[in-house]
Amino acid sequence: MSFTHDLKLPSYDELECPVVNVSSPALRAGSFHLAKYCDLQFKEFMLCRQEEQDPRKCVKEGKDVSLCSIDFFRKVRDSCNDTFTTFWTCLDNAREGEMSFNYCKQEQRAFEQCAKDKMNLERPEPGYFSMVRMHDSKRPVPSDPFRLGSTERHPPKLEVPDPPSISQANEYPEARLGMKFGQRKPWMFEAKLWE
Amino acid sequence: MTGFSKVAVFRQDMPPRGGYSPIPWARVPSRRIPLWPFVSLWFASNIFGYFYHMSEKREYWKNEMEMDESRSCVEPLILAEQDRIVLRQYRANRDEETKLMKDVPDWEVGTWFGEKVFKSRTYFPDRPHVLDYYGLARPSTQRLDINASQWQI
Repeated sequence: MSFTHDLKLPSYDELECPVVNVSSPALRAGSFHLAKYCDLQFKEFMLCRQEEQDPRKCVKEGKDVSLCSIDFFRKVRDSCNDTFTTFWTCLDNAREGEMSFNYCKQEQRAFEQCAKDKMNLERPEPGYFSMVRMHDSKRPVPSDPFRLGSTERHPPKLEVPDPPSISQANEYPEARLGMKFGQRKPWMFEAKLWE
Repeated sequence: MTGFSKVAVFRQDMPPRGGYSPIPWARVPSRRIPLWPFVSLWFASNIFGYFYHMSEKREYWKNEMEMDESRSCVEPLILAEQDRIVLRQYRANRDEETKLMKDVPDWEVGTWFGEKVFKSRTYFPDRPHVLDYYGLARPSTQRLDINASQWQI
């Protein structure tokens, strides 16, 4: 509604993509293995999204994400269907309506075993996906949409000198009184704003 | 003695034969229960409870982290599909608006009589806005997303 004809919106053909036809408990059941299988595509898409801050520019990466997910679920259906189905039905019928994993530990273990044996996919350890993961891609770095000042994806660490010691306070009398504009406690009665 | 043949008979109140039994005058302490079983039980339950509580907390937070992690694992897929749906809807809204306001004079599509919403020609919002998405929908469809912020129907 607020887009003029100047703005370029992608056409319907560009946005055509097969949909991952999977219900939400099944998605939650396979989430860890999916993220392990499609790690590259996910990271590329999220990197693109974060750098460009524009969904129109990340349509291609989004399509890769969807296609990889469809491929994964097809693989699961071909090799591990029974354990996967029991697992996600158990999640669906879990207590209180939230699909929590701690009522379905047995089925989860069975599915993980099957995934390890048949699909050769091991689920990473529990804290893996909470940690920050770096990703570098061949995609060119876009221009600065938020004027951060750096166009490098991984900017180098600057050499910062050590702060001055207390013995050097004699050389800087203004540091003793407190800076004129800039204070640790600006509005408390102990702060001397200037001499 | 003379004249004492019939004397009034009375019984004098005397102590019993053998005397009275001794009066217990020593202190009698009250019946008490010992305190040490309760204190030791409390202490032991504290120590045991501390370790049990720590393990339960660890287990609880492990489960919570697992839930959050599964959501963030699935986030790129959801975001990709959402982007495509939203862009499709934006395009449909723009086309519909051109059709509707064809006969209105001085109407440029996407503006309010010439006043643009996005002043910069290179900016595009990365998060979908409720009014952009549901702007040209019928009220029954608009009411589906009634909990979204900045909504007035």
